Parts: sequence; C-alpha cells; structure tokens
Amino acid sequence: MLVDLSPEKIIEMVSITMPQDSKKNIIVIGSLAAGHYFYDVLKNGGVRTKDVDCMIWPHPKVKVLAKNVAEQLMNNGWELNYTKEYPPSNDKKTPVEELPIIRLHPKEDNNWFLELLNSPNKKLTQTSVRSVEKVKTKYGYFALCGFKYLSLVEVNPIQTQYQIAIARPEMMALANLLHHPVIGNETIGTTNIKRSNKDLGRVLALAYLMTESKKDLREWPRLWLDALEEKFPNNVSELSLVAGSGLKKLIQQEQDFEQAVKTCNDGLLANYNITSEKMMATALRFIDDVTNKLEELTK
Amino acid sequence: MQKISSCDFVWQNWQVWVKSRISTVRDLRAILVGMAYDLQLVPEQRGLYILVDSKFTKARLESELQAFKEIVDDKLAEGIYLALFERDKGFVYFPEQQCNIPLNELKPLIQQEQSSIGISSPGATRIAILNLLILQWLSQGEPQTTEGLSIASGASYPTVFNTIKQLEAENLITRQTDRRVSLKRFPVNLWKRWVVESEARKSVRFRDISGQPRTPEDMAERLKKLHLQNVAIGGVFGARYYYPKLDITGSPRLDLVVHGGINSDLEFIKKLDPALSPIVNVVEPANVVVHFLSRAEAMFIKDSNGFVLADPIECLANLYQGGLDYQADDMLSKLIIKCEEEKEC
Repeated sequence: MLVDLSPEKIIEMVSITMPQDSKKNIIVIGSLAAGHYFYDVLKNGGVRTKDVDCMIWPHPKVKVLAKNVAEQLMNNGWELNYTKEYPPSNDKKTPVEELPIIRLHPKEDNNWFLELLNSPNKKLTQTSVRSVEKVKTKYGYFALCGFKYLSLVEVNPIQTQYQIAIARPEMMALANLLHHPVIGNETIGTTNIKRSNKDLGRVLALAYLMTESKKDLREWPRLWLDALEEKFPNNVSELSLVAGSGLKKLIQQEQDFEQAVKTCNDGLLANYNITSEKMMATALRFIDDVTNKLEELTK
Repeated sequence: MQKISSCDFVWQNWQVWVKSRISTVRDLRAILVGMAYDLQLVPEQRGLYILVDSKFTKARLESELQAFKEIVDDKLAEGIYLALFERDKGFVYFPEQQCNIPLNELKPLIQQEQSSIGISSPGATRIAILNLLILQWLSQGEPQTTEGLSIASGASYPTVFNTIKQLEAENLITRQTDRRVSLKRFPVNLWKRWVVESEARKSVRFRDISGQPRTPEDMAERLKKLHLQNVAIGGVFGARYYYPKLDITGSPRLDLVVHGGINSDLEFIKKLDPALSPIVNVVEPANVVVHFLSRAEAMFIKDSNGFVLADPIECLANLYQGGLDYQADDMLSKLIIKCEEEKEC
C-alpha cells in the first residue's frame, strides 16, 4: 500500500540512524527526493510512495559503505523487508541473483522501506544498463543493484540540512529517459504496470511540478548536456539524440500513456489528479522545450 | 519558382495564375481573354489558370475552355489551360497530360490565395480603408489618393471610392485640390460602429489545456523567436507600446494579428504552445486570440525589443473586442488629444 510520507521527516529519520561518516555518501533519489525539492507546491507536502531509494556513491567504496549502512540500521532495530522468493541468506555460495535486496524499514513502521542502490562503476556505464553485486554483512548476504544512467544523479546533488543529499529533478528525469528509449515490456512486481510507463510518467510529473514551481524547464537541456559530457563524454551526441525517444513513443501509445498518467496520479501528483489531456499538454511542451532542444544543442 | 509581373508565378515555360471565388461566366471569359493577351506576347510560354474554390463544375469549365479555344488561333489555344482546386478535395480538374508542374510547387500559391479570402467582404474592406485613413491621421501623414488606399487596403477602386463618399457624407473628409483625401478628425463613434459590424473582427480563440497556462509575456517571447513576419502582437501587449500608461496590470490574454484572411495557416500556434487548443464558446476565457488583418499592407512595426506589433488601431480594436472598453476609451482619447495637440503645434 502507498502512504503519504513527509519527505522532511523521512530524510531526517534516515539521517539520524545513518553512520555519521556515511551520510555524505548517500543520495536520496526517486519520489522522496522530488518530494523534498517540490515541497512548496505539493499540496499537502507529502509524497505517496512506499520506497525510499538511496544511492551509495562513489563506486570504489560502495560495498564497504553499503555494509556499514545496512549493519548500522539493523543494529538500531531496522528490519529487513524481503519476499519468500528472495529470502535472507547466510550462505556465501548463494547466487547473487537469488539474494534479497537491501530493503529495511524502521521497527514498528513497515509502511515504507529504505532501499540501497549502487553507484554505477566505469564498466557499468560503458556496458549493460543494470548490475548486481554481492554485499556481505553480519546479518547475511545481500544484492546491491546499480543502473547505468543513475551516475547522472551524482551531478551536483542538493545538500539538505540533514547532511544527506537529494538528487536534482533534472538528473533523475534524464536518467529515466535514457533508461527507457523504448516502451519495454518489463512490469513492476506483480502488477501489470510497465516499468517504462512508470519511469517516463515520472519525468512528466517532474516537468509538471517544475512548471507549478514557476521554474523554467528550458534550463534543463544545457544542464543535461553538461552532465552528459561529465558522465558519458564518449556518447554525448548519441545519448542526446535518444533522450526523447521513449517519451515520443509513450505519447503515441494510448494505453501506455494512460498507464503513465495513472502512476503519476497514484504517486507524485496524487493531490493534483491530472487528466490525460493536461498530461499530454505537459508532454508536448516538454518535448518541444527540453528533449528537442537537447538534440539541437548537440547538432 | 519565381514571381514575374504579368502572372502570379512562372515555372519553366509555364505562367501560372491563381484566383479564388471566380463564379460567373463573365469573369471566366475575362480570365481566358486576359490569358490569351498575355500569352500572345510570349508564344513559347504556356498558361495555367487555377480557380480556387470556384462554383464551376469540371464539365462546365471544360465546355467554356473548349468554346474559347475554338475562337482563337490554334497555336495560342494549345497553350491555354485551366485547373479547379477545392479546399476539401484538392485538384478536381487538372491538365495532367500536358502540365508537368509539380503539385507541391503550386500548393503554397493556392494556400496564399485561400488565406487572402476575406479581403473582398464589404465590412472588412470598409473598415480597412477607414483604418488606413485613421492611421494616416494619427501619424499626421500625407493625404492619400484613392488608388493608394486601394493598393494598401486590397479593396477595389470602386469600393474605396464609395467608402470615401460615405465618409464625405458624414463630413469627415478633407479633399485636396489634387483629389487626395485625409480625415478631418478621428471619427470615434463611426469607427466603433464599423469595427463591431465588420466581418474583419472574426477571430479564432485558443485556451490552455495544461492547467498551467503560459503568461502572455512568455508566449510573446516565444513568438519573437519564431521570426514570423506575418504575425504581430496586438491587444494589451501591443497597445502598451503606443500608450505606456494603459490602465491595466498584466495582460489577460495574448492578442495576435495575422496578416491574411480567416483561412490563414495557424500552425505556428502549436510552436507557440502545444497546450493551446481552439475553442468555439465565446463566453469561455481565451489565453490566445488570433485576429485577421486582410488588407494588402500589414503596417506592422518592430519595437526596440524585436517584437512585431500591430498598428495602434488594430490594438485598440482588440481591446474593445476583449471587453476592455474603459482602457480602450482611455487610450483612444489620449491618442486623439496627443495628435490634435501636435497638429496645433
């Protein structure tokens, strides 16, 4: 079940529990980061979600950091969220694909959970779009996932008063766009919601909230270009040209678009109740002002 | 394709004319005779006359063409062709066997002709002529000839002549010894009446469907970047240029003035903001209103910030149409006072 979470309270709670010297290595991403950034315009200040995604960076220290964070949280009574398909394991021979992800929730509050993610390493940013690594803790073995384009959220993350950073909305949006150049068939958990529809819908939700905050989306193409040059210097043109592809496909496929709108209204835009017509207008503006402009900048 | 003086366009050895609303046999025969005269001077050339949105049927057109060819020289007759183009159907009659002009070369001509429809509507031409006289009065320009007004307005000579007669009857015209005319004063009541009555005040309205409407100022900036020469900003935004003390905070909507008829291409609206959608309900508030200026000369100006602006009279008319009567009355009276003071000096 999704609940309305207060970004401020959650980030504060995570910060209090985190090892002091690990805080600087955490970037909160996803809807909670967006909730913090757009706090002023989210109508009740809350974000409807159940997962708090935290990326650990930089990569060279990531397994040690993940171990420290996971152990400290569990030492403080946080409990593991796992499914019967991926039970906890103390056997070092368990294949990494069968290990549970590090998902922890505070004691006596299982309405939401914190999930640890991996900062993409050099190899990952050059090859596949997803990686899984094994992390050993005193509570067992875990899987730590990383996604190729998540390295973009390492660009100028926003520092909060809780010593934990949050990702910039424009970098989360670009990571999502690059991760879904087409509408894939992968669905989320046991639902029929396509991962690409949810993630591309998130991009539109961020765009909607940017406009709601009176912030100019037309600054994004330049920021994106700088970020691509920093993180993917050998593929700037190629990535710039493909950034808008998934979104352009999404608006042409009615069922997928409707699903994207629904995921927005079930999540970040829960209190806005955006119609498909409004979201389509947001998408067309976004393509005009942002993804097409990025293409123009690289031509 | 290049434009030459005697016809609308020339393509290789073809001369092309395009004309809309030809619906009488008399007009058609005049066209054929005119073509024959022109082509006689250039025997190596062929002529194609495209009738746009005409009431003629294909059979009637063929029959008239055949009858005409029988009474002229055979060689000349061989070079005369007609085509029929209808808005909804495209070419319903075209000499495909003889004419090799690519159709995509002809479409822009036809669109241009279609967009200019409206020039001949009586209300539109009358107000166009009066507006030209008012603009001349406001700028204290030289008196104008009937022919000059005819060219600038796009109205026929008789229409201009009759309109001037009408204004003379209202004691509004000063006539020079060389027959040039100017207004004695700003005919406020007459102008308002004609503006209201005029078909030229037809407009197309758009509303924001995103729930996050762009400001008129933002859209004006975006319009500037499109570098369109045939679209000007009117309404409050434009009026402020002529009367900076306009008593209104912020612009409630963006008024745009397109140089052309009501069938003009409005594709640029999507570039201005893809969240704009046309509305027909006149009560529903609009974010953008497009007006049409069908006189021959647009008389747009560019301000120091690069915005293309409609003339002050057009801006005033937009204000009245937008229900900003108080602001429009104020602007109008100040413009008149300022002009009269300058005349006295």
